[in-house]
Amino acid sequence: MTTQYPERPLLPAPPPPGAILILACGNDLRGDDALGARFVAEIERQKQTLPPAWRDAIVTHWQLQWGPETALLLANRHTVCFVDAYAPNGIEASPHGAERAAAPPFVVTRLGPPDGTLAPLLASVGTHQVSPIALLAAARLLGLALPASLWQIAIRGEHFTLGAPLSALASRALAETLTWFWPWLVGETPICTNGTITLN
Amino acid sequence: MTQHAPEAVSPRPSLPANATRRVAIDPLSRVEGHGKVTIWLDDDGQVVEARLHIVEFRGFEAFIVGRPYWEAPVVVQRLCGICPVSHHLAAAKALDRLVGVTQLPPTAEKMRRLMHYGQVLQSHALHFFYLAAPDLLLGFSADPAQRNVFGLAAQKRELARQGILVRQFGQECIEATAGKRIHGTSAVPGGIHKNLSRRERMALLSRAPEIRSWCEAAVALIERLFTEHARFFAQFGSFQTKTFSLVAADGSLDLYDGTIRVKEANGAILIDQFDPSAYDQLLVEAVRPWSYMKFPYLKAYGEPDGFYRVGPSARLINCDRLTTARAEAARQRFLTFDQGAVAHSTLGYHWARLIEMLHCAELIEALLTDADLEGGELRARGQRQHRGVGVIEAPRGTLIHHYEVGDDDLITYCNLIVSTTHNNAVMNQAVTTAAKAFLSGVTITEALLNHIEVAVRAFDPCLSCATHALGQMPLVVSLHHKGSPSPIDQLIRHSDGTIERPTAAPALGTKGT
Repeated sequence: MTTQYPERPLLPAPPPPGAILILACGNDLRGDDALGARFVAEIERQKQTLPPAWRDAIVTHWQLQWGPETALLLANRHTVCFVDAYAPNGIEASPHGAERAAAPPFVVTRLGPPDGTLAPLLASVGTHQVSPIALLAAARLLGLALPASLWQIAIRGEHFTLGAPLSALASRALAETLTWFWPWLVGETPICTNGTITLN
Repeated sequence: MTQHAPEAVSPRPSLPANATRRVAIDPLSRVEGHGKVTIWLDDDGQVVEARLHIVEFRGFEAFIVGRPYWEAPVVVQRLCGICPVSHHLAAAKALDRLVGVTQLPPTAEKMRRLMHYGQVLQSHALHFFYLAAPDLLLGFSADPAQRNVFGLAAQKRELARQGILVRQFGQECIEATAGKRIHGTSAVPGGIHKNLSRRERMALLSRAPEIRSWCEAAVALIERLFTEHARFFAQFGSFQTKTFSLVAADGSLDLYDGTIRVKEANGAILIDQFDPSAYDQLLVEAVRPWSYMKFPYLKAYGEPDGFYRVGPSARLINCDRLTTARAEAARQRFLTFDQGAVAHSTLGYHWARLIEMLHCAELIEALLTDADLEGGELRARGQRQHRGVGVIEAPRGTLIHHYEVGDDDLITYCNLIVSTTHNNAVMNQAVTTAAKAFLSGVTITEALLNHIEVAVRAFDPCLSCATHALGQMPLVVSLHHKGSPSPIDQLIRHSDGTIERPTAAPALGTKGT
């Protein structure tokens, strides 16, 4: 029997199980802070249409907030994407902010491994806002080999009120991020650029 | 939040005799990680008294009233992000009684026990490896920036890694039984709504022996620390107070259930096999005008004789034995060390906590071999009652939940006595002891702050997770002197670790969130 998969870019040979980690954070009860959780949920839903080996290759974790234990999740990965919501200027939206209007729906940043003195990088560990670089520094301190390919995906939100639903702006930003994500994963991340396979 | 500059006070019974001025922080609506210590001096500059002020107000007992009773296990656990399992289970146990259930199906009870042991394991691991070990292993006066689990990792990588993994394992036990690591939902009145799959059980079981071996190593480590530093550790004080805990019918420690036992400081049993549902006949909660945390005491003994303490060392003293071999052997060494003095000391809590961590690791390892966890009978039913009390030994001590419910299923009354509250009196005693021992002159140093915090932290108080902020509990220490129009010295450590010594009249609470 042939399995029909939805239209996707040509997939290369699958990476090893767990090689790709999507690590999101945020409070799903606080409006657009749910973007990380929603992104992970969508990845989980969409990856079910992939061949089994690819499903095993992509692991997702969503946590309300990252902590020291989170660093252990970085072990034995090749590609890690840190995903969270972002608010332009770091505060709630103003309806008249010109800068906000120009803020992109998502921002992707390639991260480098931490170097030099690790202690300053660890400052956010133990707070409610642990940074990806702090997790990487923690992983290094714990003797873990860091993933070769590290990315931060920040999805735009505007309202972070307790009990609020995802805003229309955030919903659109999420959709745009997901549309971008799959071709990017296949075409841009180093682990996915070798070899080709065809669906079906 | 309202701020107050120092204000003059008239002598009154609630203040130390020499108090002439005070600094007050008005209550915050949500005080996550805020504590305040005030130190009072006499004319000779000697410490008279020190106080740990808890200025948080939660209000759960009020706003749960009017809600359907079955919401309580899910709602009330939101008190805390560190020990929600304890509140979840204490509430569920209370509601078991409310729905007339006195005996859960084996699967339900074992699932709850696994959840609870996982909670105690992860909480104790968090406290020791993340909060206490940096002090104990790196030194109380080490660089504050290094006094955290990663400062520990920089010097003792494998120990830190093991600590993180032990905590993670406990969290995974919670996730498997409660549905998620924080604020799970599986315990329901009369039982539980999920069992464990074979795959889940085997996955956890495969890792349990290694976790247990790391816990054994941690116990050995703290035994060495006390052997080397017992005299210094003793400066943080000891207690001649009663000890309070649940014990099983055979006198062994049971963290999940049992009856109340109270011992005198000399080890004599004062109260035994006391029905925990009648706790309100046993305890009275005193109040102080300077703290939102009450001061429970034994009604029959009054104040201050009726003050008692709970938690790991109280439990190890109170019980006749632990049901797991390695932990029981460790308990015997603990109780006999230094002629038993450590068991009654402030820092002895750390040692006791690690013994309980080992005990839970052993309990989990044994429980995971039990196929009852995969059973299908999850709930029991009984005759509906109007009152339910649930008591459990949470990581920090005895936790009491009491609900009364009308015929319309709505909660009409709720009373919670949380673990940290029981220890309020002895925590204040420990702070005073530490201040007397380590305060030199009138200059407050960062090291002094940490010594005081070490005394507080030994109890692992859960001030809405305050001391679980990786040792970054915002702390205000004010030094007062008779006749001084304002504090003669003050040092504030903010949550980011920065130290501030206000030069003018302090405006407290500006970092409040």
